[in-house]
Amino acid sequence: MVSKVYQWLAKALVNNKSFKGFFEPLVQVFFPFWTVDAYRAKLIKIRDENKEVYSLVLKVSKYWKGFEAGQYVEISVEKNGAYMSRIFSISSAPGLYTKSGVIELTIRKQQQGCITPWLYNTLKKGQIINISAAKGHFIVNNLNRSLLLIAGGSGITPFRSIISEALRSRQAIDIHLLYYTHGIDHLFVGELQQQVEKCQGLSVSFVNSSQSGRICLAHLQQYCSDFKNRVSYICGPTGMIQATKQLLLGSNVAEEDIRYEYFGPAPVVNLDIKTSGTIVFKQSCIEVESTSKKTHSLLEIAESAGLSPTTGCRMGICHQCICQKQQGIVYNTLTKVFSDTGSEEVQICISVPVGNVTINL
Amino acid sequence: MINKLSKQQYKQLAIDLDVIRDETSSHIGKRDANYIRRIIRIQRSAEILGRITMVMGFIHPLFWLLGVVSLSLSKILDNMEIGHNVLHGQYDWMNDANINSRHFEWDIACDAGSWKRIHNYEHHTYTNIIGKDRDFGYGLLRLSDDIKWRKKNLWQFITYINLSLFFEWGIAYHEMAAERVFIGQKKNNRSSQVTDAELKSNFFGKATRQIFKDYIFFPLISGPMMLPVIAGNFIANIIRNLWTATIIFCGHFTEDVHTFSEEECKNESRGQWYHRQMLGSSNLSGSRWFHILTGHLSCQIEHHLFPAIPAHRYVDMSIKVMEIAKKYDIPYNTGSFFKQYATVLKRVYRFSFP
Ligand code: FES
Repeated sequence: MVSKVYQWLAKALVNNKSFKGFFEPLVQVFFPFWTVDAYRAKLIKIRDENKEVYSLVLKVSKYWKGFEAGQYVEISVEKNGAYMSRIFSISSAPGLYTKSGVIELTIRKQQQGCITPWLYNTLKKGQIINISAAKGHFIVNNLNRSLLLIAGGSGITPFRSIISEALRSRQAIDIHLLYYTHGIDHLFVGELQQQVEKCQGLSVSFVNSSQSGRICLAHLQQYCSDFKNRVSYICGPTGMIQATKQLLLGSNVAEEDIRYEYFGPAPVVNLDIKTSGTIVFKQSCIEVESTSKKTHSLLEIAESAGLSPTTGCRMGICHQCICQKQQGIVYNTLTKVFSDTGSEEVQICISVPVGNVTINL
Repeated sequence: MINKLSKQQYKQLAIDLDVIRDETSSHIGKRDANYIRRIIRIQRSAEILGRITMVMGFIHPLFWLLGVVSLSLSKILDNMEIGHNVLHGQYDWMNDANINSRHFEWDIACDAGSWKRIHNYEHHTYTNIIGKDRDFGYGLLRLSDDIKWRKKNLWQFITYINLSLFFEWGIAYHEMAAERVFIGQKKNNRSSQVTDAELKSNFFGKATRQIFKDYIFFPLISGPMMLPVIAGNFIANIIRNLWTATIIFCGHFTEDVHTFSEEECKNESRGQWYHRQMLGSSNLSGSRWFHILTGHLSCQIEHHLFPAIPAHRYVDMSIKVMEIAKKYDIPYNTGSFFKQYATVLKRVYRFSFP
């Protein structure tokens, strides 16, 4: 009730959803990029994990609400006047945060990506960036059960947090980490080995899939023979998650004992507007395959799938058809540019999907 | 009469104009973000200053006057350079939660959603097509021979003055009038995306909030200055109305602006669409501050050609657009404010009679 009145007052008096929103541009004079809906974090340092991977060490504002091991945050930075946001798992333990207010995000430089290499090159020590509250349900809530953690590539990040936190709890634990990489070095090897030495209940298998192949039943039996009795957590590329899930289900592991978290799709290397893919209309729970033969705008695809989004001019001038794109690349037929992969608003009448796209419609 | 171009020329015209657009959009970035944030800061400061100094009128009436001026400035900036342009999506690329066409709401009686439908869509798509562009004369004024003369047109000069004084309410009611929400017979060729009930609740919701702000809340907290504050807010609203109405009329209703019939515009190509935008708009020349206060609608031609480009870039673009107009021998309608405005008044007067 009180908050309703407050909102109405903000709308009436300053035409904004909150009073803070009205003052935001003024506050920004003193605190650049300060925004109402984000928390601020100061970059303490950028640590190289290896050639391709780095960690941002961030001191988070005291108003931030904390997190649980396995959760992620959205960070947003200003790049040439535009706010760009990306989602990263927190790779450090909650314990570190409670002690020192510091969190770490471990990030792989996506070769074709427009953010991850840019962040690395542009961010300076001491710089302020905006982060969201921690989100996500990829959380271990019962350490009494035996766990199997399966990581693929940068999918190791939430597990680093989960493992450190489990060790800190001083509970008797039984965790096996099965960690795949493809062609690149494993991350945090030294650290993980130390932890294994210190703790009886923890074991780790490092697998290089360019030598031993992708995950398969033989692997599971070889590295973790009692996998059927464990709760499995999977984090990595989409294909790997799906394959692993099938394997486990096929071995009669109960569905509720399989937890997973997808990372966003990797950047498309060859940008071609004829790339086919799956278009997901999130709110209406509809998935459509787009063919590579003819290019159709998202609006046309939505309409032929039976949706009726708001439209006007259908030629890119009126901005009536704007929708939130959550993920994926679209090609703007008017400006002839490819979009970023992250979430942003797009005019669907002039946007052609390139590959997989998720849209909030 | 309008000089028609050949099919080939239309094609080339579209290409030439696209080049200007692409050239400019490739430079859009930090500078534009800084620009709009700065204007927003000026507007917010002017509003805060205006509301405070108006109350200080009890110390000296000059404070009150300063308050009125400052608040008018705030409202004009909010509606013109900020609201109009942000709602056009010119700054959507910034991904800023508060500076984008979906969420921005402005300090005017007209609900932003309604305005986007009528203005962004209808007016910008069907510019100056008689019968389709409901902004042409706002259904109140007869500004072309293509519109049937009625007796009420005899006193349309007075209607025009009233419309200007209460322009924000005219705009707010515009869509409901067109959809015949309260009076008149429903037209059957309308395919509105919103129901009458939504139109009504949006209209009354926004109107209530605006009235509450300017005539209830701020006067009440001003204690003994209540009446002067009511008067000051009222005057600021009127000043803004006069200014916006006048500028907008100069953009489409000057003497030499062309109108079009639905027939002419069937299946038009992009080049023809561009051509129509150029013929249907007129510019005003002036200083930098003049342009900003008009929300760069002083560059109405460029705005109609490139509605999604940040407006503060129009002045530079106009030089190239003018060259193109010359190349194809398309009239480029521009002039000083007083010259253009005189022709608007002439037009309103002239078409009062059959
Ligand atoms: S429908 Fe007008 S911009 Fe998409």
